Amino acid sequence: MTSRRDGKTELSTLLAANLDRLKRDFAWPANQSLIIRNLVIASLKRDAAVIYLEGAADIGEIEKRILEPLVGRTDANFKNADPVDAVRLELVTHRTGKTACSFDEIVNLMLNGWTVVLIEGVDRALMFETRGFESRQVAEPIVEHVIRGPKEAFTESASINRSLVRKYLRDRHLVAETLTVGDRAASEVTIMYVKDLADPNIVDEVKRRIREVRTDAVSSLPLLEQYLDEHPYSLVPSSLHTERPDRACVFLLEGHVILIMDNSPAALVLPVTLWSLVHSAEDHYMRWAYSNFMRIIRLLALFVAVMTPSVYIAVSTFHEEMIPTDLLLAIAATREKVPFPALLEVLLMEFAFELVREAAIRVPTVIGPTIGIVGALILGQAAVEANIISPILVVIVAMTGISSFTIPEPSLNVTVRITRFILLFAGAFMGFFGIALVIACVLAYLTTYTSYGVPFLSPLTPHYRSSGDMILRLPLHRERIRPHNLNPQDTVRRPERKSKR
Amino acid sequence: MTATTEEKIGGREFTSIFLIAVGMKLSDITTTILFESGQTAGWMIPLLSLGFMLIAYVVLMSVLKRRAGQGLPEIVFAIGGKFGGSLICLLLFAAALLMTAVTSRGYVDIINVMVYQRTPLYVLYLMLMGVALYVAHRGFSAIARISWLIIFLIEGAIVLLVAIIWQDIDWLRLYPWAGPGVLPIVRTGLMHSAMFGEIILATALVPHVISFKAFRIGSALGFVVSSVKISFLMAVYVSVFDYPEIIHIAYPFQQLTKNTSFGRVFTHAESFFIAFWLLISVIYFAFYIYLLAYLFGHAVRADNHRKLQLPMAGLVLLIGLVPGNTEQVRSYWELLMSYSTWLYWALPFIIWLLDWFWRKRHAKPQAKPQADA
Repeated sequence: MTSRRDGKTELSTLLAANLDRLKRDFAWPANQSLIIRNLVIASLKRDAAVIYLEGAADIGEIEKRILEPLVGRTDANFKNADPVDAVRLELVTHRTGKTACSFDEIVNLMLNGWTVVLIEGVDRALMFETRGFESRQVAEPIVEHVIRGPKEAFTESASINRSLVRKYLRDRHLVAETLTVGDRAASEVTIMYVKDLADPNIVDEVKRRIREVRTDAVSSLPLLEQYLDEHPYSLVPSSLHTERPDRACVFLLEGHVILIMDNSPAALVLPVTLWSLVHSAEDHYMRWAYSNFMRIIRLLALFVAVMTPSVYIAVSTFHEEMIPTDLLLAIAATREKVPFPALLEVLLMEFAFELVREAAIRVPTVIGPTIGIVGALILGQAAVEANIISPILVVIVAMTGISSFTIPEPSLNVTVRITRFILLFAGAFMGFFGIALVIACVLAYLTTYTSYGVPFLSPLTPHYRSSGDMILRLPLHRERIRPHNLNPQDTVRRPERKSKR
Repeated sequence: MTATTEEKIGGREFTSIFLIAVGMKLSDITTTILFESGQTAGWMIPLLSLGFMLIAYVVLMSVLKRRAGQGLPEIVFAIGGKFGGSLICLLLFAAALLMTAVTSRGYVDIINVMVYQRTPLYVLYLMLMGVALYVAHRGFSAIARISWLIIFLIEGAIVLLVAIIWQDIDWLRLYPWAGPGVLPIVRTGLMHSAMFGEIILATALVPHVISFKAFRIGSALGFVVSSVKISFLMAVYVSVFDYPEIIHIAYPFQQLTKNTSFGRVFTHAESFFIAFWLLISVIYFAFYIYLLAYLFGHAVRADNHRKLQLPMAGLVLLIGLVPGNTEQVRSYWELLMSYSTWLYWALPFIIWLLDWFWRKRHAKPQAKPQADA
């Protein structure tokens, strides 16, 4: 056992010494996960050991493809004189097989489910990929529901996820590069992109940021997302999680990069624009008119979710003349009995609503609906009857709440909710003047916010050529070019249709 | 590419800035003052000023075209030397600073008088300048991108306003069409050319625009469309309010929005328009704060003109608080207009002449190596 210059320890020719070292590394015998199976390779007449980690490796595969050939074969006519080559090339029937020389490499691979074969008198180890982590089957998407379209979602296994992406996008230029993050417990991150589409600068930037992550362990994508984030304090997300392989492929075809990791039932899409956050997976599965109708509804809902409480406060405190007289009188009549100022009323109600929402997420699923009924219906009704709030406010807060549920992306959802409170205070403080000032700030921020170098509101502003898939969309055959804000290498999606049918 | 680095802006974005920066004048005290001297023919004055200013603009553009990629400060420093360059930059800066201060005070007066009577003037002023400063601080690209984002909404809102008000318009109120007479109108148009001073000031920003062609098209288009728009809206003001009532209305645009209603239910839509107008004024003053810091930064040869934005906003605020009331604001405005008209008019010709001398002096040494070759 010798130490190399780079600090890695090389294997010894003594099987016992190597085994001791591995046992020490994995704290055996306290750690019962390390399984060592001693055996004699009959055909080579040498002692050997097969070592793997329980739970990480697939035992059936080891027995059938490694143990059986090693022990079962007795004839000794090998083409290769070197025992390692003889075992790897002529004995074992496993589909993989490579040699490793240092313990660091062996330990790292074992943690990822590989099996080691150590042979007496050889200072190299044979490694076979026998990954057998438990994982659930491909299931239906939970967050990104669609009525029409594929119903497969990513799972916690990176290899299944990669296979799903490859199933939907059978392109030879689809590249899957693997990097590792984490100094202590290294985990693999797969970067997938279409080589002749994605802007190399974006790909390099993503890789650079992944390499720069310095921490002990990154176990899943949501954590990695935060390590990669350029603006960690910003309210605006700079990447997007999707659990749908078909949606991931749509992004890949526009020149985005996706990241896939074990333990994360999603793909991380970078860079993102506002449009990718507000679009739903279903938009392109419906016909032109239907999907545009849904998009208009969602756009209005976005405005309602952000603006309604603040506009109500502004109008009822500063600009009463805007409300039709009859409605104004009706509001005044219901507000007569309420002792609180309008702002306090709205805050109370918004707080209650956020409470119901948070509670509904945290409680076990079985009692979830009860929260909704008790919280929303009974609380609202009782609050009005107790003259704590006016009925119009229940309408407004409920409208706002329902509208915010139409925003498909969870991060944007929170952004909208926080922005709503900021606008609420601005509206209560200075009416429309305050709202206009805050909106100016928000616009100034959003227009100059960039995600991996791509402006957040592009290709709308700053203007880039695109197929106009932003607020509305064109019919499929007219979406001819890819959005230029991502600087794709191949800009044309489909050739122009020559004749009108 | 981050938010803090300056990027070149495209032609559409630049045109939108111009449409906003010049077009805003249809809603402020400019129109009121023009009606005083122009009477029923007030609407012609912007067109006449446009004509006069176009001459200066064309002269300046001929110099700019020859020196591609250079803005006004770079050019004046190249042909006027250190002293001359600083002097011209400072002159332009002073004119722009006073104009911004007086104009912004006019805006704050409008907000104060029309909506927030009980809020102290300086509080409104502080908030407006604070937010404009933030927008300016996000960079020229922020101003440009917001402009492009909202330009269609703005123009749409104006069209909507005119459509709503259409039934109250009586075009016959424009008669007598020459107002106080042809000569006084032409004179007023000439003396108020400085209201389009942006066209000269904006040439400082040529290096920030993606190409000179985009700059030329953007500025010319924004300039002409805006003046026609102002002129048309002024005609609408007279046709709705009639002369001489119009000269007694302090803020015709805001008054016009007060008359709007959507059907019988929503009888008062002015807050809708006012909110929109407020948003645009923030962009407008952000543009000015950016421009002021840019000009001053070049005049004193500061490396980081972004850091000058805070003192610029403060200066505008302090100078803007000097006038005691709206009447004084107007008289300062008139005074400023007549002086800065000379500056904006003379400057392009001076620059052209200096450039001509410069080219004459530098032509020979350049010609020699060519002859040798």
